[in-house]
Amino acid sequence: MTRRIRMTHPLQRAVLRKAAPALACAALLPAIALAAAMATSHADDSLASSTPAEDLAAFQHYFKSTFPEVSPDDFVNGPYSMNKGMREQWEAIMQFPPYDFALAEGKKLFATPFANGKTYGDCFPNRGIGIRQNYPYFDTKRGEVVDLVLAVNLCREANGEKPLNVSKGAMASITAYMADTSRGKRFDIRIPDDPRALAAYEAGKEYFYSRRGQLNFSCSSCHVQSAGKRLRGDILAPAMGILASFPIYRSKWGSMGTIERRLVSCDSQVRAEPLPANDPMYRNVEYFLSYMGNGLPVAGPGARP
Amino acid sequence: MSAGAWLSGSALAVALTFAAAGALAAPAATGHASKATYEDAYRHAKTLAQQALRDDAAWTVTAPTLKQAEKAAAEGDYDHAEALADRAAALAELSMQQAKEQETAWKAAVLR
Repeated sequence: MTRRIRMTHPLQRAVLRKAAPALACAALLPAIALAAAMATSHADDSLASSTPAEDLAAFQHYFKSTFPEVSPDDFVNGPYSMNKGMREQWEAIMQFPPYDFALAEGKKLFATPFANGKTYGDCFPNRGIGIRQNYPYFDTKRGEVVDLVLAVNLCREANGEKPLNVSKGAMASITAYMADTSRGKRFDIRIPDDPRALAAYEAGKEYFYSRRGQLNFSCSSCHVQSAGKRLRGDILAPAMGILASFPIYRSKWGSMGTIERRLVSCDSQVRAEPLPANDPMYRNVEYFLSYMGNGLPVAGPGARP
Repeated sequence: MSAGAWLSGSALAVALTFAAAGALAAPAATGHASKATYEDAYRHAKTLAQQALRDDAAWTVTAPTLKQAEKAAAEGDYDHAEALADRAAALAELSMQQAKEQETAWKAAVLR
């Protein structure tokens, strides 16, 4: 069964004047009928849409007011900002950061020339040093969101090299190095005056807040409504600044992983069939969430349970 | 966070709880299934499952349920196989219903 990579979201398709496919629903089951009868209201379609700047203000205000004891910059430390015991364990682990091997490998790979003699530095502003805080960005020529992972692969392809796996391995190591050179710099994600950029941001926002999977969770179910609470043995990280520490060494993986890797696993965990790791929709989600973290410091690479 | 955000999610959550609870129990067998009726049920479920995938609305539990139906049919247990195929169809339908509902329901969850 082949999977179609959805290149556009319905909002993006409207902008591009393409017709959205009709969804033919099968006959509803009694349980669904019960749900329909019980629902007092679906989302009010008259809810005024908000601008990205308004979203950012509301988003950061929510977390700062819900967790007044957490210093704003500390949100980038995810669950460690929420739980004292976890923080102590993390500080002990960070005596010997588990991402150190990947960092060393990434530095070496970054400096290794391609077959044509060029290097990654030839593709990026400032030779790729200290630029993590500007990713992802909306590429107006390509008409899509480009995150650091895609930028690395575009660089490789432009220099005659095969793309890397976007989830782990060499990609995670290279982007770990690039993030490390930017540690402490403040995220500054831009949404240019281009309806396609706004559509991509809105598509990511919709994905973040939409419930999915048999467990019927949205990203916000865990990382907004349940931030700081336990999910089995884990403490749920707050959504504010949640991407700032990527790529991460995750103990559960026993290896490094990119944002793409985590989004695929999040979808699987709520029993939603994940998109392909390099799907543009995941970059749209990264675009929205990264914008919500504007002003927070780059904290990658990071370590997580 | 508006009440609507909770309620619209809760209503479907109830439905999904029923679906999940049903998925944990053995599927109801009728004792009247045949190879032909199973194949009809399987084709129907497969069509719905493929539609859910095309719409990026599929659940991870749907495909394994279809696989279980195939296995039961291969063992000649058409009763069990048809019940599993019907369950897979129900899972696919629920997943598409969820996606349809979420086209608008997500807005109520947005932080303001």
